[in-house]
Amino acid sequence: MNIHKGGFGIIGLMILSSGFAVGRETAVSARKTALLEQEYAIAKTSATYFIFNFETKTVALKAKGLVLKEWPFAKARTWGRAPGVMTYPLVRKTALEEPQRPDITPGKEEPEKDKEKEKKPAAKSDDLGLMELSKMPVRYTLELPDDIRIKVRLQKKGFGRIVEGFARFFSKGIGRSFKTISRGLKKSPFTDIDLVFADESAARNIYWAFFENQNCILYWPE
Amino acid sequence: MAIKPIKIIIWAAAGIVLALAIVIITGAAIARAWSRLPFPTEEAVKIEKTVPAGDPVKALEDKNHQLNAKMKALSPRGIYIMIDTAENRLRLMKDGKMLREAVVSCGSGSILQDPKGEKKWIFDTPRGEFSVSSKLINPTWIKPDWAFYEEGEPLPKDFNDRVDNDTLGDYALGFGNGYFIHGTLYTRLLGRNVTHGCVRVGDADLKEIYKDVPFGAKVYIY
Repeated sequence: MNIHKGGFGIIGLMILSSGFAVGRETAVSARKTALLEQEYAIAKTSATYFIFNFETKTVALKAKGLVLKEWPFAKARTWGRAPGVMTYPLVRKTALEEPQRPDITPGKEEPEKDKEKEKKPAAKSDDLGLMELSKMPVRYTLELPDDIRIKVRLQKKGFGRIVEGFARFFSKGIGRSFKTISRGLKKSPFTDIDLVFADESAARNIYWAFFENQNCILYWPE
Repeated sequence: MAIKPIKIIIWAAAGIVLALAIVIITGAAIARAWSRLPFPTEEAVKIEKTVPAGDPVKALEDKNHQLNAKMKALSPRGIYIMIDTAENRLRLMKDGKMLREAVVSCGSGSILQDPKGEKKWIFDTPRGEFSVSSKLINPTWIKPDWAFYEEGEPLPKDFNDRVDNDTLGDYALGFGNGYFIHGTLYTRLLGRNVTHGCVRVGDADLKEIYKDVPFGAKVYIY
């Protein structure tokens, strides 16, 4: 009798767990369908768009389903509500030190035409006062609708990483914990995503390429 | 036996750090659990409605397969151009494979105002999907107003004063709204963001691009 009970228990558990597995599989496939549907809707237009894929840990810039550029990120932390697989336009990007567009001074001497003069290429490091990739910030916030914020930063190396991790644990830990609970109680959800890049060029490139009103899709497998 | 004040301070500090750590860890755990709670988003409801009856996983996978195929059909076939304005690179592509990479100059992002302050130009290279709409040999540049304002010169009364046969190089490929991929006199500035929105290419690369790229080929700028 006891054996029978145990057997039923095991069978019951197996049925239950297979049910969960199927349910989870359905949910994952459904989210993938949602991602493809959303992407297809944008890909039909002539606009470029971003996909933040938290499954493959990549940020991709795409057009017509074609990957134009892709950057891996080291890690991502999410606070608050997990946003749905939806298309969001970039509302604003903010940084402590935002790059400024240079003003042209009329009548200023032109750069040398090197078919006439010396053909020495301008070094990458020469500051020509232009808006270039090297002037893009590596630490910034991308604001999306529905109170979604993607905070981009670089991964610190060595001892700095430990110190920053500790400081972040105290400074953000308390604030975000309280924010999550209080906003949850008020039923006004928010989403904070910390996106950490190992490569500073990736962070700069995304700031460069992502402009206001350009669409992006955030995708989590589950 | 009196306890030394330094010991009291150390114990108090350790106590505060411990208490803070407990608060943060507990708060973070609650917040994490809270963030897992399902918020009935429109998107979640939409996904649930789209899950078909019967074998939902298979049905969804079939749908994903179809969507992937539809997306692939949107991607360009044959020859197309990809221009990375951040890195100042032009890539000549054929069916997803790179045929040639050229160092180019893209828009400077600078701002110019006319002397009266009535008109303003921002010299960005436009981004998105375009098509090659014209192919010219020995192109002539009809200098627009900003070219005179920039040089601190008055606008010419005679149209012939706007005609410039040297600046655009040997070939030009138009991609709409007066923007071109063309040659340059300033080859030492290739690789830098210095243009008024057009894409400047060195002579040898331009010749090959002109030869290989057909009229109507897609141009992706990002």
